[in-house]
Amino acid sequence: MCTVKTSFSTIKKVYCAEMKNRIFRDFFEVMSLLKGGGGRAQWRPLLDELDTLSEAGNTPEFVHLLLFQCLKKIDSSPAINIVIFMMQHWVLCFSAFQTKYLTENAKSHVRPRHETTPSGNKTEKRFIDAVHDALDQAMTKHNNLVLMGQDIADYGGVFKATEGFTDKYGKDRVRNTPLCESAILGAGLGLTINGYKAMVEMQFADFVSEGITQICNNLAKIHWRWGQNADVVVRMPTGAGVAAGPYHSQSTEAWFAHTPGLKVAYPAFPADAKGLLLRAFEDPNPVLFFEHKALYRSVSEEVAEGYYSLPFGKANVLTTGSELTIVTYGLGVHWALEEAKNHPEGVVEVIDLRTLVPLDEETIYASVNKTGKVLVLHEDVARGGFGGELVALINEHCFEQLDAPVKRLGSLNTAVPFAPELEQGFLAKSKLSETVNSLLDY
Amino acid sequence: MATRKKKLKYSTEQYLKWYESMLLMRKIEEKAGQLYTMQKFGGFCHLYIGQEAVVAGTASAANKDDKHMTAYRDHAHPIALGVHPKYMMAELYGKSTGMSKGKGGSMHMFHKEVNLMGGHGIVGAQIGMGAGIAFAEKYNGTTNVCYTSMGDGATRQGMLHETFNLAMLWKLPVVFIIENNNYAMGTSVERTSNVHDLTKLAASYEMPAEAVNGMRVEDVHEAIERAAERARKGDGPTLLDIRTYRYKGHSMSDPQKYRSKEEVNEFKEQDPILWVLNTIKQNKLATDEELDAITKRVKDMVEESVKFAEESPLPEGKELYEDVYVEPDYPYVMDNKFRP
Repeated sequence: MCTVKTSFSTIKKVYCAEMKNRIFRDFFEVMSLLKGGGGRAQWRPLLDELDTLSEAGNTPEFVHLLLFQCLKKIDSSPAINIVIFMMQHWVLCFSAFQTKYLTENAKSHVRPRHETTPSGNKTEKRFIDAVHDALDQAMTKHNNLVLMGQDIADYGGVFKATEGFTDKYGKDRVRNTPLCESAILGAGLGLTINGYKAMVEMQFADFVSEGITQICNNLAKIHWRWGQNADVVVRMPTGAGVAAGPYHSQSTEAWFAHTPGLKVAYPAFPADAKGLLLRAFEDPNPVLFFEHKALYRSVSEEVAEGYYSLPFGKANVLTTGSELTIVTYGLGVHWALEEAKNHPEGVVEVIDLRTLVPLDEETIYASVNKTGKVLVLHEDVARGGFGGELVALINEHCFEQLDAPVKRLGSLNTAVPFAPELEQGFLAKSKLSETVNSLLDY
Repeated sequence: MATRKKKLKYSTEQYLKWYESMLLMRKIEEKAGQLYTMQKFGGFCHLYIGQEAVVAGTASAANKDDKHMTAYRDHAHPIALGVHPKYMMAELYGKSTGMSKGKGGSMHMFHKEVNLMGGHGIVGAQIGMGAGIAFAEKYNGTTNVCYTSMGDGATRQGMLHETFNLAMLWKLPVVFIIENNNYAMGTSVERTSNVHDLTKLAASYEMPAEAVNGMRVEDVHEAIERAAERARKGDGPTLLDIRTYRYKGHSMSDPQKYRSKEEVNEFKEQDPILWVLNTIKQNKLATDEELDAITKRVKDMVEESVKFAEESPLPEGKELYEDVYVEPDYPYVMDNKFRP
């Protein structure tokens, strides 16, 4: 049984000081030192390392000495605290393999600029910080907004999206709830019927299955039935790539894109995440807001300070090309950008949809009509995924301009495997280069 | 007789109001049943006949600003709250003048002006919404209560337990009402759990609960008052197991093989409307002429409702594209080429 003996912020403070103010992401790199730093010859999942640490009883044998020492400074039982520390930051299920992958990827994400966010003061923010910032702005702007979720209060949410909110907005507006997705979604709707706005955080998007009735029957249809709107935003930490296994990695956007009455947003970048989340709170309809867990701490960019919102239904053309269009969203955007780099400039056009419902059809058709070839890419499994919808629309609207069959690439039609090596094989990314090349050669 | 009259706890006006309201529910639903059989409209038709005292007693005990939330057996609720039944009838007919503009049907009766928040067709799914409405009242610092009704079948849903827990944890001003007619469609309470006394469901959450005779409108009224008082004081929710009975089948297509005629007749002898009528007669609360006038008014309202429903226009084709989202011009609902 873990007990928090030292607050996260204290650990972080001391740790950061020790690390000469390096940002937290560097922690992954610290862990990577294990390999060459007299630790193990082979990579091991962090969880294994931590288990070893607990069993060994505070021995620093396999944990980076510096981290261990700074933990030891503030608490005599670092073995316990480091576990909590990891859990709070969703590092516990990261494998070293994944860590390396994400860290490397983070550096390779260079986003072509398409000015959609306001100019003015900007600060470098990670995806999670942008979400945090947006929630903060929303709480200030909408004083009738109530946040609900498991451990979102003092704990700050499992991904820290609401850290510090109870101090600022009070526990009445930042509500810890029991484990009951269905009841809080229902209560959220009840709140909006009676004049409030509600944000319900799914701890993991997978857990939304507990609340499907409320979302797909009650939230989605109440305006149709009696003109009462459902002013609820459901935040959905989603996606694979973090070795979290079958119940904590799924992409569930297609469940909701299929249901009339709901809107579905799925940003890929911090600045978009902030603007679209704030837009979601302005929107009087129920919005499912997907945030990819693997992007939370692996991408960062300049994000405008203060309040701004971005429109729903406006895709972003991230690279311009004349040979092939890749239509995608979420983590797929980053895969596509990476892939685009393997080809000469001006070949691949990458479209980030940003919202699935409403869908920016015009941008898609304009691009496909120009390039004549299109790949629809997403992380969700291929069968029944949102890609099928995109393929159908493209066929209906651009058939005569096509130079190749519309290609769809999703992940394998299986559950999300746990083992990182298997997971990489599962993800659509593993077949991306091959697919793009075959389309270009067609 | 004079001595009994003295004992009456409620005013003549109250008794007459109960009588007229319940009679209207009964007659309009009898008519709805007939019309359904005549195939004047289709869809679903779950009648409340026999259970009228539950909503009548709730409505009389409620304050004007209290909120009401119910499940799919919802024809009587708007009537209890004083809404003309023609809008309900028009909804059964699928007409544009119906409570859901013909887009919901029998299970989707709403009327925000009287704080009737539905009308929800997924068994048990409304329970959490009721708690949410009460939650908002608590935020607003009002003394309003949300009455959240469900059938006995819904009590076996997980939603009930999640919401009970939440409502007690946050001491929400909600009164959970089980309209316990003893059958989840055709499955009796005894066959859905080994816990037959539904008041016990509250015990795990230390929620006050009581069983109420749902065939007696006075009993319902009093129990609701007690529960509402508790909620208004900030003491949180109460569970009321209001034991009632529906004379008709679960729906119009129910052969009722799960119960005997004798059982049905036994309850019909305790009929809640007859009870009120007898009280009125025995205590001479109204003359025969006055009672005839009530019958006449009810008959007229039923006829007016049917006429209204039959003569109302069907929803226009464009309704298909409206109300999916709040924005009237959502371009993403349909393919452009199909836009009217």
